[in-house]
Amino acid sequence: MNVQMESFVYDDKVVRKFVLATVVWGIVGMLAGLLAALQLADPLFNFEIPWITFGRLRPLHTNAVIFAFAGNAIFAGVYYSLQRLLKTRMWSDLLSNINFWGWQLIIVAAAITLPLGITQSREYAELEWPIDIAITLIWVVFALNVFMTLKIRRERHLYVAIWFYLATIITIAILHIFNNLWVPATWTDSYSIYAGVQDAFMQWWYGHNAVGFLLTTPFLGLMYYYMPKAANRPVFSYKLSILHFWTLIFIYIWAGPHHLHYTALPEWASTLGMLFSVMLWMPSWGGMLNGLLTLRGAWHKVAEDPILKFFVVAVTFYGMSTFEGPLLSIKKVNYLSHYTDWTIAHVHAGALGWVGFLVFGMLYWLAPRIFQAELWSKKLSEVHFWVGTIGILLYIVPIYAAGLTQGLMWLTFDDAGRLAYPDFVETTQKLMPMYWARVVGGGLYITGTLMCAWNLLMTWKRRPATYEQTVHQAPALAPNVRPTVESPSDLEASGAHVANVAYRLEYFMKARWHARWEALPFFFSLMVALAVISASLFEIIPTFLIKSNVPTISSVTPYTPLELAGREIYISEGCYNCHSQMVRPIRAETERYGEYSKPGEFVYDHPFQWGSRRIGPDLHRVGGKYPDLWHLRHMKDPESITPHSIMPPFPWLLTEDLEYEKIPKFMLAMKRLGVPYDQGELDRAIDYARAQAKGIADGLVEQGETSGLENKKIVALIAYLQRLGTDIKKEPAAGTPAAVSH
Amino acid sequence: MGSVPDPVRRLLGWRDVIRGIRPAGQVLLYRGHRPGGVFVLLSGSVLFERGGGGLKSLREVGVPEGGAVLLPLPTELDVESPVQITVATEVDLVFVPGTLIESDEQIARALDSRELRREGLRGPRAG
Repeated sequence: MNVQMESFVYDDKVVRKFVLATVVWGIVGMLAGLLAALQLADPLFNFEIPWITFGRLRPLHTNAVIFAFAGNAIFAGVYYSLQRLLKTRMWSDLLSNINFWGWQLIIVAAAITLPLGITQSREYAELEWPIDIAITLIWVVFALNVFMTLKIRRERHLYVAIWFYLATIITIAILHIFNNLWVPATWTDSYSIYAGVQDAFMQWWYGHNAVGFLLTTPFLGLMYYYMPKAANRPVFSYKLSILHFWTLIFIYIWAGPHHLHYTALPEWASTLGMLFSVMLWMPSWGGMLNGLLTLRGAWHKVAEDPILKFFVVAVTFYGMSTFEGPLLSIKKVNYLSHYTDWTIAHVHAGALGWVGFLVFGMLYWLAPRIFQAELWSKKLSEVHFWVGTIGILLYIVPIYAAGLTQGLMWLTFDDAGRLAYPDFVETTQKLMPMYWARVVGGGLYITGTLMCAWNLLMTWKRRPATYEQTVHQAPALAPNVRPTVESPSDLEASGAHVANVAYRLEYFMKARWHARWEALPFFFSLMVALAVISASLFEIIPTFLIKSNVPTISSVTPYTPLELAGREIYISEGCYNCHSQMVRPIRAETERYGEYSKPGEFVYDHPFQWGSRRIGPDLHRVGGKYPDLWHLRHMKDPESITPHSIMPPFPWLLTEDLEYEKIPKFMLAMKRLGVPYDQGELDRAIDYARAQAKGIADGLVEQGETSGLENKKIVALIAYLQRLGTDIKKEPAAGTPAAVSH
Repeated sequence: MGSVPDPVRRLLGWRDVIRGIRPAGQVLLYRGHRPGGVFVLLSGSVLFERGGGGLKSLREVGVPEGGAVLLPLPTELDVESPVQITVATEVDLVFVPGTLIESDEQIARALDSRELRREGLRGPRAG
């Protein structure tokens, strides 16, 4: 048979660009993390500069390492491997370039807006709505390029790495869109269409699955391509790939509510999340085992090859993190671990160990190929490996200890039945040595990253004057013809007389059905979408439709105009990064903070502010607990109220003007979401806000503070804080306009 | 550092109520002076001393684990102190002026908290 060969050249230029972006943004994101770690060890490192204060820096760190470092690494890895796996150049160089430059612009926009306090406040989805739209567009460009490349491929079957890429593309699109449904109030402010309980549910459906489908599935895909390449060994088990792929993507999507145990989320939802999280252990370990066992017969290479060392440690950390994740999802463990640094240690084991080391292994493997020059120093990459590994251990071990210390100190009662550590700052102080150890560990990890950057730079300098364009050849894709004669059955060949069901079982077990799916990328993608969407809807629909999930409380009314403005400041300063607003129905918490939080108290909270960490105490019942002057002093200089507090000072809140003119826009957006503000309240919003601000400012003057504070941000923040958690203590105010009843 | 009972933490929301760390050796109250306010010790210890040429230590008062100590008694604000009170080991304290105690019921109520142990100028008394 005469087969017509086609010639083609791969586009490695875009890969080189994404590699550069990975390294540059990796350093930026990790340095932001190091500064944040220093700020927790000593608040002096906030330097009283608003733009880099912890509440604004932490989202910058998380967004930079997730979307800039890991995101660019995903694009680099996918663009390189996809072309080779499909034996074709990417469908459109233009789309590849739009993908690259568009993504970098998004990152730059994030790097500008987050330090300015422009945020939607939902973890890992903080970017404001115009950037959300840009992300959607660029993701569509990426998806279109990938799907069209699939269409013009010269390889019939999709390799396992591509299954994971497809799952990533489809699921991230779904997560991003449904988690980012907002009503804009201004260009830089918007409100989630969901409120309170439902908003928390959607956020953690997104948050957990962002970890799943941005930090797990694409990296599993990269593992399946780069690890066998580096080891020069085939993947251990095809069937295990199928099993763990489908179970992983189906089960992962259910697990999000385990982030909300003992909160106001209905218990059935968090219990369901826990059950699926525990089940998730098995498919996760399927991936780990498939990765590690791929090295069978090649373990001797690990000793001499730093790339394989990075991969082995990465996969081991994946196994460890995916064992720990289900463990943390168990209610009784979560009871202890939630809001503590245990979660931070868990996340960093996964991020530094699994994601980071997989990226570094991939970069070292890619460098000689894309720069067409030998790696500058294998020795330096070996040193990077050891420095990085020690860095990870020095980071996570103290932070695990910190998490356990916090959790136990918060929960302990003395013999008289009182909280053993009633003062929150006592628990914080105990963590300081561990926080300093983290600084050292994180510093070592960044040192390793800088070594990698230097090594890649020097390798790039060795590149040829002009990159050689290797021309590859492959036959065009033959039509997908289903064979009329199935391969002979082992059962038949053995002469066994068995029932028809046994033949069907054999067909299923040999995964021939799946081989057929692999030849049909669009059908395959449809099945992925079905798995993800159906699993999501099982939880989302009841959460939104069953009214009893959120019993209403008649005394709960909308925020006043000034409180709403204060809430915007609370969000903008990133207070949710350190303070929860969710008192769990646990005695240690009700003793410390007050009455546990009820679902009906959050019906006007667009977006919710439950938080996920307690670097400082919970604030849901802080309303009315302290006088206004206390809050002013505390925001100006926390140490004057609580010596050794690690809260950063916010002196600019006393000098920056409150933008009263924005308040009606905030209220109008809220009204569109169903918050019962009437037209009169909207029309007089600024008057109401000024009146309430004057009351607070006059009180402060009586206490000896300077006058003129009624125009400053601090009064709005005080108004908001004084309102928190107070509704259930009040009688419903009959006939009073909602916005002025407080 | 000792814990801060919530009633005491609340006090910091009033003008002239000041929290601070005082080093060992600093005199909080001289003999013969009127206290003019109360101290709420949150950690550390103080010495009650008396004497002519050389001071004689009468007793040392420390903050129990998880507690707080109020001294002197609010009823002793206008009394000339028979003792000198000196910081023995660094103390974390809150000072509440007497004028505030007399004028503000909330302050008086906060100082009445059973979480505070009381120390009078002439000897310890149960709170």
